[in-house]
Amino acid sequence: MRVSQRLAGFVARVPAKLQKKLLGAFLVLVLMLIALEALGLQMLRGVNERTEALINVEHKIAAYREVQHEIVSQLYNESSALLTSDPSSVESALGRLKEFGHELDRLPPIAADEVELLTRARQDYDRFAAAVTHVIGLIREGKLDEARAAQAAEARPLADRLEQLTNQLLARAEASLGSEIEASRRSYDTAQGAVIAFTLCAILMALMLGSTISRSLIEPITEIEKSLSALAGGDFNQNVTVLNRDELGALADNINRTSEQLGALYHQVEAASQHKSTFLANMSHELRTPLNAVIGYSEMLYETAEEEGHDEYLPDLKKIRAAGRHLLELINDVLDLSKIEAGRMDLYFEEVDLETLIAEVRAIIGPLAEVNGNTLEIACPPGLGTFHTDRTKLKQSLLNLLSNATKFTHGGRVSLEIEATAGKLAFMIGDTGIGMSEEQLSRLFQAFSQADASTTRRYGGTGLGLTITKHFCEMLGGTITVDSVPGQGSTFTMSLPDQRAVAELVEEAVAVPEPVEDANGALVMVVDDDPHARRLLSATVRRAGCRVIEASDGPSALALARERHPDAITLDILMPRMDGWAVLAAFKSDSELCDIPVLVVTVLADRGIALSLGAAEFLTKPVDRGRLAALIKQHVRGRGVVLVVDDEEEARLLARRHLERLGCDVAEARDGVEAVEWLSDNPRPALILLDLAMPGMDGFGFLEALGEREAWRDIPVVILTAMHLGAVERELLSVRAREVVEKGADELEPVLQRLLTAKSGEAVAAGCEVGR
Amino acid sequence: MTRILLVEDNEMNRDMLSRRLIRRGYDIVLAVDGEEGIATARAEHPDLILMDMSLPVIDGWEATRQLKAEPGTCAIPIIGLTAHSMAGDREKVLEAGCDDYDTKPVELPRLLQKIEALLGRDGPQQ
Repeated sequence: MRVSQRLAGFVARVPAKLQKKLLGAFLVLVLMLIALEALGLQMLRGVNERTEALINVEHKIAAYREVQHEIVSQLYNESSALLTSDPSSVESALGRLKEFGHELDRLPPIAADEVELLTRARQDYDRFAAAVTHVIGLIREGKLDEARAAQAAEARPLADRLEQLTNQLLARAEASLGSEIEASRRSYDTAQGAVIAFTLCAILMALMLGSTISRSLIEPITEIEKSLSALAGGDFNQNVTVLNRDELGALADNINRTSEQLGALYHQVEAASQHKSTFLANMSHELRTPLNAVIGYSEMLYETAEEEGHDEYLPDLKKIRAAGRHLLELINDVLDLSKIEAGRMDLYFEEVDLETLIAEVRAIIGPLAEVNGNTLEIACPPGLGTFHTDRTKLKQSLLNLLSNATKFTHGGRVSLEIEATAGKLAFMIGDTGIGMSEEQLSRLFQAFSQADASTTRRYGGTGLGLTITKHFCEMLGGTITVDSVPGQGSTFTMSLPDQRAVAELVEEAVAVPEPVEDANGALVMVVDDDPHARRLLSATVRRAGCRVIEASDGPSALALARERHPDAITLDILMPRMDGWAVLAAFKSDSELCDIPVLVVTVLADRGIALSLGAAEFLTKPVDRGRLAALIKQHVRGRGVVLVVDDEEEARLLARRHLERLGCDVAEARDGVEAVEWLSDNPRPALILLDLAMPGMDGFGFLEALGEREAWRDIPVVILTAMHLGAVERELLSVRAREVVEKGADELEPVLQRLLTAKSGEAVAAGCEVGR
Repeated sequence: MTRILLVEDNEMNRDMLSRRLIRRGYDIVLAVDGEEGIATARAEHPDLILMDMSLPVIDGWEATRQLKAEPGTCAIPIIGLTAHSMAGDREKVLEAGCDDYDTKPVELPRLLQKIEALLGRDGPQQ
């Protein structure tokens, strides 16, 4: 490992292009192949030479045998010539004698120590030939007795010696044949060994080259990937250090530079945004101070003029005052809107006495209505009591809507109607004014877009009131809708939930967790900076049967997601510091997190952006809780539930920890009876972890119960026991437990991992001894 | 005569509001910052304090807290004056110990209503 790491480091540091490094590696492999070929050919040639030597020896042996044969037949010819004195057989014997001489000459190349023997054989043969010639001469002359004597005295002993000599040569040749065969086998073995060894070396070297090269590439790529992922997550302090001096090194350098630049830019933007906020706050203060004076002194002058009877100044003074007030309103609205959009608008919930609030509203709107000759009708059912909400924002919203109504209605009727339903209030603000067309309605809630540009000139107002009102309604968990007929009037309906009812609902959901449901559910992460919204969402998610983890900002959401790996995420967009879009982008660019479905839940209406950034769903606040629950159920990934059956709480906890680390949901039962009950009420679990020794129905009993139901029979079971299993128990378990593994708790995870990834139906049971 | 302490750093606002209140028959004592406001409140024991919240030296929030913590001054009703009513200012002002609040520029009739309500509740009118 160390060596390969160092090698990879060495390769990484080589200042050459990647292509050259790869070509180099391939070149080395090709050279090794050529060397292997050369070795093989060399070996083949050796084997071939050995074979030729063997054939030589065989030829030699054949030649020696021929010589022996010739000698015998020569003697035989002589003898028969002596017996018959037939001249023809004498002639044939002489002819054979010449041919015999050729046999010896035709012998294949001979070893040094054989030369002497062969020389002697040749000499003896010459003498034998002479003796035979002599005998034949005598036979021709008819001196048969002399010939017989010469045959016995000269030719026969020579023939015997020749036979001995050739026998010796034969024995040598045969011996060398044996050794040649042996040598040939050895050389084959050597060749085989050498080829195998060389091949192994080549394979090893190829693997090493491969791993070194790939390591020198993969490691920096992994580093770069990590860094980019962190960068996408908004961490600009990236410094990728890679050893590479190739393209990857350049890439890492560029990423470092980009990170630095982005970081600097981000700080600039942040500073600019901070400056903007400060500037806005300062400017509004700076604008307000002289405005205060303008409004205040104009009011004073008005009062003075009134007191002293200078009525001719009154209309102009009124205009100055009105213009000042309008300017002030504009400044306040712009400031509010910028606060809302920066997510800096706080909510403050309290008990609001509705009758007092309505009286205050009436006191302000009444005079306004009169200006245009309108009547103000307020229909408020008696005994409304209190309502839990943000007083300032509710009042501001009502004032905005009602003052709009009085502004656009002349000689008509402006009405406020309140309708109370369970945990909710509907405020209906109606008028008999100019109304709006479809086209005007579509742009109604956008900032700085009144029904048309001339409206501002005719009716005044900032054009921000409705935008702010809509934001407030949504911040309060409510909705605002509008119905309008041009020329007949408009009705705005503002529906707000009682925050206490919401809180109670949340408390209820939090206070009465259904333990089994809870442990079973998928894990959903709720990301929202507003604690109220978070609680609302969490309650909804819990009601959908899921477990909840919460994060209040982007960076902590990312960290938590990496740690817990939730099955789904609900994400708010308007958050301080890192907004939801950035969080969404970070999730989607993280290879570990990109599969988690993200449900964007926001007051904004940018469905297109959300989906193009990879959001699974887009919901506008206030959330339709039924729909959110349905979507969550639809999107959470079913990784399966594991039922842990154990009477000891600690053991259950331990198992739960293991299982949750594996991304499973865990259900618990304290004994066989509870487990059977759970199985009857819930969908089939992916696995059952079973203790054997339990009160009530024990593990064996539970296994029996499991076997009785067709649907449960193939649920894989892991036996978790501290008990030492005897032969009888093992026998009993083997019906359902096909595999008994005795392990410590630390090795439980691989078993679980294996069983959980195995296809359902492959029921394998392992007996694990868990340290308790 | 009802004596009102007006703590306000802006000269024009101070001049304007004090003159308008005097015209309505109140006796006005002035202070230009929080520190002076506290000292004047201790010395003069006004019937009511109008406290601008953004003040130099000691701001209105802190001055209100100090006055409300002292046995000698804690009974004096304080109306906090802020620049703008939104974004939780009202809650913060009440949390700081003010008995009521209003926004600047003041609408005099509304402010007078609040002053009278507080005096009627907390102090005998002279």
